[in-house]
Amino acid sequence: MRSLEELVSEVLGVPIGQVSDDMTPDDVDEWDSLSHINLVFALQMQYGLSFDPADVPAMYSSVGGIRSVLAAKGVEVC
Amino acid sequence: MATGILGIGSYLPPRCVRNAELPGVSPAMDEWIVSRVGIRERRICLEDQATSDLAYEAAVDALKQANVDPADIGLIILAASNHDMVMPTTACIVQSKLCAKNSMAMDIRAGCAGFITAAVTGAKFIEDGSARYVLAIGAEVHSKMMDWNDFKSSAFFSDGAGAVVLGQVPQGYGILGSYLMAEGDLADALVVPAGGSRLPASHETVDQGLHNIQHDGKKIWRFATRVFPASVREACQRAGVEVADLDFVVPHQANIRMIEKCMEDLGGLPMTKTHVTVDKYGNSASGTIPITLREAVDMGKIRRDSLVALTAFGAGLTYGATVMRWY
Repeated sequence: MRSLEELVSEVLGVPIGQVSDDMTPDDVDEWDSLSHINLVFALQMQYGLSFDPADVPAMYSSVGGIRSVLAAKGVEVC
Repeated sequence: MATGILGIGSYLPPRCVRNAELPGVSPAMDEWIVSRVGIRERRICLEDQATSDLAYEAAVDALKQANVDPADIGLIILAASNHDMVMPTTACIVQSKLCAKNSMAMDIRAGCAGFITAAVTGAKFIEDGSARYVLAIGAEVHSKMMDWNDFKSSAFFSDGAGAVVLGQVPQGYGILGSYLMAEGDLADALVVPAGGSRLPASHETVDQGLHNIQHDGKKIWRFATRVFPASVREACQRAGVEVADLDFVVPHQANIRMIEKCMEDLGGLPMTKTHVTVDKYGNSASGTIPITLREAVDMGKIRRDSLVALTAFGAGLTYGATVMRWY
């Protein structure tokens, strides 16, 4: 299974070295509200989850925000 | 005499695709698309429909409303991004379908600003006496040049067409002032990389998805929110009217948040002074303005004497606006 960093890097086309928990949509041109849908879809597929409506905007905060939402759903993210 | 719109036509493909029908979209993703972009559903053409088919239907509708015979059209200008073929022009194909035998026909490419570019350009031919009537068409088939597995495109783009018949109207009515501009330095913000002379079609270009539309959403947002209000202001200045005097604004339909922000940036014009169709038709590029204009007129939101601004921005990057007194 890909790490969260690998998944974010692959979906947004950002070098993996740039991906950290502090990375926000403001830091990355490729992370806009539409490409965020691709990211949510990839997370759903990788972790077999169904997100609640409130999760999607919560994850549009930072990579750390995504990690927190996944953790709240009991997903151990490497 | 002045030049104005004598008839508007539109054509929306019958196939309606709701967000939830896009492969893989969950209810949470659906809600996000609605809240961030404003699109609930979009129209997509049938397998056997091409751009000229949509354009033809819109043109017939416009000619009927204007009560103008195709033989009296002196010029057809068609704006699109995804044409029937690389050659000939889609405008010539539409000319043949319409039997508009006394018409010159040409395509223009200005992305989502294509319809305004076509209409403003076409009006010049009436003003100088080259044509009695001009048919300006905006038509788009995005669905055949995008990756349906990329929500960035599939949730955003749609198909549709609109057309207007331009002709003489009494002085004081019609187009009062227009403004067209391009910023080619931003060309890479919205591209279909392959299929032209730079990167001809090959197995590799197909395998790499380079015939699909690619867009930099943030760059376009920054551009659009700058040029949308600026182009309306410039067109108003050229028309000799104040922005505050506008009765109605018909903007390109890309994103509801963008429309709301730009209306606010135009001195706080209320949303009651515009009409939104992006929620049900999506972004059909050069089709959105005539489609939205037709609906606004049919609903009585635009009437005789209304002071109306049309404004759009698109690939190129291009933008423009035109201000008219509705006849």
